[in-house]
Amino acid sequence: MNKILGILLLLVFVCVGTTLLNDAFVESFNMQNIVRYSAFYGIIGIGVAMVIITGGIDLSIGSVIGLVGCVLPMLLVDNGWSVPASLAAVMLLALIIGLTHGLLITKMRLQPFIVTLCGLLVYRGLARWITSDQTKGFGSEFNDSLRLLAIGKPCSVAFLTLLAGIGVTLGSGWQLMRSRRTIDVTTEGSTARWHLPTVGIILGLLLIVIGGSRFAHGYEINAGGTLVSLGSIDIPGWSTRVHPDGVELPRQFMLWAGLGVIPGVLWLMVVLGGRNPRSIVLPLVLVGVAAGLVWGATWLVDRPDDWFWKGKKLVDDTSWWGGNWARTWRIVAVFSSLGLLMASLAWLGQQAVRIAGTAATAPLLLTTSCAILWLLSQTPLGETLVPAPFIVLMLMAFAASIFLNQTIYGRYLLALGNNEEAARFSGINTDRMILLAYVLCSLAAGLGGILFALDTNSIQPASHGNFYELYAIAAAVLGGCSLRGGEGTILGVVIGAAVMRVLYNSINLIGIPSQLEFAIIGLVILLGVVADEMVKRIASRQQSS
Amino acid sequence: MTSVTESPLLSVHRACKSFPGVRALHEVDLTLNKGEVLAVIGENGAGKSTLMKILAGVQLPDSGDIRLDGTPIVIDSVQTALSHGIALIHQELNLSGNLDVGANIFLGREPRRFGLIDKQRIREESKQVLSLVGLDVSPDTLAGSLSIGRQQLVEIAKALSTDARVLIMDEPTSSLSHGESERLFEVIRDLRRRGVSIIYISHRLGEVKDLADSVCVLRDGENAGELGHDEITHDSMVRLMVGRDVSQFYARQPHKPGASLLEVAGLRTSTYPSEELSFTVRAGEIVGVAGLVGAGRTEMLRTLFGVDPMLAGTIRVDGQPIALHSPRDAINAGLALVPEDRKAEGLVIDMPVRSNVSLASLRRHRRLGVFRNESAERSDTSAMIDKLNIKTPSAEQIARLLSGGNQQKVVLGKWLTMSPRVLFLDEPTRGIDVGAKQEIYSLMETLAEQGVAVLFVSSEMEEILGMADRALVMHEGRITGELTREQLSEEAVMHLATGGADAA
Repeated sequence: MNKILGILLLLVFVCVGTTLLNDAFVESFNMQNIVRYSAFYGIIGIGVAMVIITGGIDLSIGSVIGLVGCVLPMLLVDNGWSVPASLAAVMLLALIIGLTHGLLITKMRLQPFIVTLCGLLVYRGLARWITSDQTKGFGSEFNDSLRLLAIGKPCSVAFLTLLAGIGVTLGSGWQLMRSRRTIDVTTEGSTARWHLPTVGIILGLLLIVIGGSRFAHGYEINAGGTLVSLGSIDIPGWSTRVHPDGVELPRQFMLWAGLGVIPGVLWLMVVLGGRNPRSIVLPLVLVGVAAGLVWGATWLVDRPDDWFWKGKKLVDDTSWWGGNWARTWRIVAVFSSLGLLMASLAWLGQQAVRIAGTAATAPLLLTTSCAILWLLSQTPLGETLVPAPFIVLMLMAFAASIFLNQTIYGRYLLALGNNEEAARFSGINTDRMILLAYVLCSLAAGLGGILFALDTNSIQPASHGNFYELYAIAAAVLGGCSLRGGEGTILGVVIGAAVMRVLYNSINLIGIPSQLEFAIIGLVILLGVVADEMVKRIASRQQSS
Repeated sequence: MTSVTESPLLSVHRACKSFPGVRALHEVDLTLNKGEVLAVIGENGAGKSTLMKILAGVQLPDSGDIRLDGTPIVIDSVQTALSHGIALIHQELNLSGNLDVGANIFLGREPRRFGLIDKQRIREESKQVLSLVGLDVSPDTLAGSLSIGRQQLVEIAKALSTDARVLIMDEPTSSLSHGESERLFEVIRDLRRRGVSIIYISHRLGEVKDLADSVCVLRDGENAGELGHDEITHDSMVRLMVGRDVSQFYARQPHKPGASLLEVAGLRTSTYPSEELSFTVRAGEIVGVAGLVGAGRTEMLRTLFGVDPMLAGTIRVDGQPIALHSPRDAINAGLALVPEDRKAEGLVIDMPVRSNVSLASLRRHRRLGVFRNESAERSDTSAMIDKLNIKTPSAEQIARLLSGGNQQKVVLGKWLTMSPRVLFLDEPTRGIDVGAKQEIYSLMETLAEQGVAVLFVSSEMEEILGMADRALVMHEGRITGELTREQLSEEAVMHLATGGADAA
């Protein structure tokens, strides 16, 4: 849980920082693209997470994507297979690949690294051979049907918000009813459990109002097509055209809801400050100072030409690294002051929990949600449509988390990842579970391959999907999977994939030379892992002392 | 042997060492003279290893002083110990099989020449120390290609190359063949003639009798007595090792066993493929398996539980033959195994108590074929926490953070949720405190009264004598004897465990 919180904060940090530096980040076109590509990486990331949880690795994902990307258009276009048959055929191919990996690893006791490294080479070679290195594509024939799976935008954010609201409300309600039955277990955990559903219901209702108000106004749904018709429901009387006021109303609603931050802060100051002023006032002051710095960094540093001292220009525009001094200054100032702000907010939250115990979680969560709503109200989220791959990802993430958390097999995977021997001694067929993990991973890679191919429409056999396994692994690791096995959450992987994509986008938008792209992504991942390790060490030291 | 006026080469006075929950050493004294072979004996957990680790600088004592040639010294690291001429040869071999013999001997202190490893010097000096131990191999031989016995000699040569005056050998013969052991004894005698002092730890009392000039017996972390050269007899050593009234700790009623529940016939394990094992365990009976380390007891349990492949034989539970290919088959037949190494084999150590207790029974409670039944997990776990008195803040506590005894109870809880008919326990009380030990014993009692067949392996003589209705004694993969409760005695077990029945 803490890990997910950490990576989520990183995501917010990069998003807010980038927006402060360049508004283009929150434009609906850009957001749609980020979401679409995050979804691609999330899909393959979830697959590889299954393998990483067992303590293994799959390096062949990129080549599987390349091979699938070549085979699919060949079957569909060159050989004229039907859509379902072609999709089934490539998924079967992925299944066979996964089975092969799994069998080699469990029956022959080969190392996963070697097996999948060989896979990486073999599938890439096969892809190049069957296509004779010719670029493959779907032409324009499938633009209104199959390709919509990758490039379609079947519904509005509002529609999804409404759905999410209904889901959260129902889920929290169920939790609330369930917890009532066990409320007599008076441990710290269950008190919190009682509060969280209440917060969940309030949040869910809020989402329903926000989403519903927008959904009622409706948006043009441009996914006609045969395959993707999600959300293209035309409810009589509800216009499917954009209402002129459709954008403003929910945004203002969110803005007002966001003002809920104020009672939250007041609550912090009065209730907690009354109990222990020093521990709450200091972080509050720090939050104020940091907010001022962020404001200063975005507002003042924005105008370096206006900075004079005794008639001399303070900030020189001489090129320093690929850009200019002013821009570099701004990036550093914005991100560091934002980091300070977030750190002091985290400190504030920690102090609140320390003073008020678990009772603080509910008000803190509400305050945080209000703050997020306020942030969202500053974005043109209303005009944003949801890319189809994101819906695929959501369905897959939902299924994967049910698998991992609610089924006995998910528990088996986590257990054997932590201690394979103990799992075996407990009567678990560890070989079969590991096999399953590799099959799931390759199937996810196959699905990702289909989507990537449909998205590009121009598949270079030699390079399509190159390095994608590393993006997937990076997303999984950022999302809290340990390469030692036994650890990992689906939500974490999805957020990890989003961080990768947002970082990439951010680098382009804030004017860092794109040559540095890999270096920066690498450093961020490294910092994330180092921070995680340090937190772990501090925790274990506190435990032992 | 040595003149009395001389101060002893090495002496330990009132050494104490405690670990959380365990008092490993309490005011232990030890005296070693020059050119003497001193045997340190005692049961498992008597404190031998701790004492040796203190001498070799692996651990620091809580109190007590160590004198070398009459001068007090502090041994705070392995390097310090080596600089004082004290070298420890571990029970497990510590050679790098991928390096040659010479490189192993000088590992970590390679002589240099112009900044590069001086291979010529390594070769020459290795030859010298190898000849000291009478090993006729080239220093260029790959260490991994030598037999275990020869590797042991390389270890000794390595220790001698540091100019060791005191060699500590921790059960050096535990993995050696008879011939290899004989060879080792010759080397030891030869070293003694050269004035090297040797502390020799062994379970094999026969060896001790042959080799030792004096014997120091430890029991429960205290000195139980010392024997001079002429006093060393098998009986005197056993008397000092066991020492106290055994029946007190294990106050229990002998059971009236029911029908035979587990029948094993002609079982061959992959470790000792040439030996056949046959025995039965009856319902409500507690059977102990005694023997020395490496006698094949753990391997037998692993095979019976389907972890290791069964080469031949039939296993019947309640008269029904069972096909055993995996632990799952064993579990389905109503067997359960509490393994020897609970951290490596018993627990998913980074998972909560609840996940560990429910791991085996997840399948039984599943819903719709695949879904976990979390409420069953919770109720099972809280039932086990109550029943076994597991001391944990909650069912969600990570297993790693529990004490050894409570971890063992978690493993037991996992199996009790399955209501097994036959329970195998491998060293069930190793490394756990006295209180938890007692609780585990009484649990074994209760289970037996409920008609469970209990088969436990133990290296602690007292446990075998105290708990078993009947004992099987193993030696080198063979069951060398079976002792009823009336026949059970330290001497009888030791006799069979050291292969006595063969010799007789």
